[in-house]
Amino acid sequence: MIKKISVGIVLLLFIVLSSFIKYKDISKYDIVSGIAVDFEDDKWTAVCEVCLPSSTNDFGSRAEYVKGTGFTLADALYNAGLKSTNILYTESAQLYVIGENALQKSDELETFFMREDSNLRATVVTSQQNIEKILQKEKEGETRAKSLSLAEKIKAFCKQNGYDMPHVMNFLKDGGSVGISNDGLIERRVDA
Amino acid sequence: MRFFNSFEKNTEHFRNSFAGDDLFTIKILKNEHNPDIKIAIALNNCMVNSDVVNRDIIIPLCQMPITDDINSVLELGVFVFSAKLCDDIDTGVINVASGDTLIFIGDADKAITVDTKGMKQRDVSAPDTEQSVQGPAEGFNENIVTSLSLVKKRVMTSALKNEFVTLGKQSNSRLAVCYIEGVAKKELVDELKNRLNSIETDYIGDTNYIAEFIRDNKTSFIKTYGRTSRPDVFASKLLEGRVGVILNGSPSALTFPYLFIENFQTPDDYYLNCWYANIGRILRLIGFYLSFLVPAGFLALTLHHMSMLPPEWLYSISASRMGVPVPIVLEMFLLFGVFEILRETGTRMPSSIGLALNVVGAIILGQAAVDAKLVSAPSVIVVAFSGVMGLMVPNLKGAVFYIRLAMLLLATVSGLPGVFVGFMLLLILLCNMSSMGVPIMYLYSFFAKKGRSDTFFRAPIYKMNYRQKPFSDNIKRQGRV
Repeated sequence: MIKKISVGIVLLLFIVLSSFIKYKDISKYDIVSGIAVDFEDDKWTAVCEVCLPSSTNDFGSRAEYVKGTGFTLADALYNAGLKSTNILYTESAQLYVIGENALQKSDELETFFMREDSNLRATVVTSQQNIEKILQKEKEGETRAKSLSLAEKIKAFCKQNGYDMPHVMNFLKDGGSVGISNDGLIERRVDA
Repeated sequence: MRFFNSFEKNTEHFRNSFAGDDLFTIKILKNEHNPDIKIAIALNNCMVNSDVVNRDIIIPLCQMPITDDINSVLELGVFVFSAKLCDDIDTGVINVASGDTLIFIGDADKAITVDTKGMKQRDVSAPDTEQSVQGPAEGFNENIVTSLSLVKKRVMTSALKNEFVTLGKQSNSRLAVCYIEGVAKKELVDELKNRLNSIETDYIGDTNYIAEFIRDNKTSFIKTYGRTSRPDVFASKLLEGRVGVILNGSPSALTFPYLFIENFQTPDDYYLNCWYANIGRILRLIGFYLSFLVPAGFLALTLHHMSMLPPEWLYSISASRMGVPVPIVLEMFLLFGVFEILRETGTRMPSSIGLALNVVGAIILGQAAVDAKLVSAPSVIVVAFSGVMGLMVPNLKGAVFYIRLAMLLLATVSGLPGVFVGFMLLLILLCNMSSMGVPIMYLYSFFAKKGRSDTFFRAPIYKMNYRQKPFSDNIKRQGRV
């Protein structure tokens, strides 16, 4: 009897001490497929591409964009999240677009990526263009969210040219190897 | 109580005992050579073989030159080999109730009891619950003698012992304790007999009644007794040193001890080439564990560890969840509820209706529910997959239900650590369980060095040289050891 009671107590403690109250249903989250960040006028800007299911459940064929600004990157993301209907889920983002100005703030960027440690294999690209413009879909015929298709294009570009894969890990190591020019072309960064 | 020294008192006792039972008959006979001898037979009409009674009892008693000495009647007046003297009047009443015929001769304080049981019985046929592709198509039926003969046919040795025991105050059910002398451990046989003798009940309706009385870990949802309807399986278990119980009126027999790995063994494992048979066994083992780990893992990942899901899966699951009104936890429990309802309904239905039910339940209902956005497609897939996996091991389908329920709860409240803790608790539970005193996980222990040739994999027959030590002192089975 004592054995059963002690097993019960251990189990109860385990349940109480675990984070069961915190969990949220997956439908309460907005899944972010890509994040673009930049630094302008002493403020961070974060734009998140949120994938939405269409009537055919083709995830990513519809997307909405939420933008937030703040004095830190975390603030900017938080403010972007406030504009979203549901909770923003950023840990599965496939693409990070880093603006040219933001590259100067490497310490804050590193902190940001280290916190998002579950996503170290996402693609990072630097951009000379306006970050918002890069994430917005251009062609109507595009079947997936821009960040998903752009991430694939960048990977294919690196593979084709024998460059290192532009993962977060590599970005943290050498500051990134691939960028998007003013003309919207994917190219190897000169300083890489 | 002994029989009376009076013909009238003895017959009167039986008339009183069976008063109100119109099937009971006492017939007074006259011997044509010695008409002064008082002869009567007592029997139950519906339970005896009329031919045997007329031809082998009534005609000899009436026509043979017998005296009123009961021993001479036993020799001359009954043409049935099973005839024997009975001293105890209460035993006589039980014998008549179970289909024997009792013969009263004069004022003798004994009676002759003759086995004349002639109840209709089902033909020997392949059991539905343990189908075999290549093996014999014979199954036990409800007649204990037929069932024992099917075992004896496979183990033709005088070492095969069948000890009869009567259980149930009202049902007086006959059962046989079967074992092979010199192979089964004597302590095991004695333990089983002691446990059987300790049963005090009115009625034994099936071997499951016995199992629930005598099994170890009585409250556990995991089986600690073997149950089979196949004489070939029963015989092979006896040859491994196990002890069996066959009950009159039940088409399934019990075997003790029962190890956990036996849940994953099927008759065809031994009738097919071992390489082919092992595929099935491994699939069953994997299927059992996946049947509760997959839904628990799915729930844990979608609730607590979304970042561990590949992004494509996450997008897909998230997309399918859009517009579904119930939370994913409730959805999983509801779907499993529906699955169990369909399974239970299908079990009791005739096969033709069962097929239609499966089509309606699985395809139409599932598809319609997904289309109507009542449930999400990934949940339906997970529930269907795990439900089918759970049915791969029929012996554990009840256990799987409870394990799955517990795992789902733990996954909901604690995520993957909860699933891990639940799995560890299950292993601890299994390691604590025993069957006739033998740990059911014995084969996984360090002590079972010999005889591991039939666990996760079945070795070729010529390499299965040993019996298990806890069952048998005589572990050498074959080959050069």
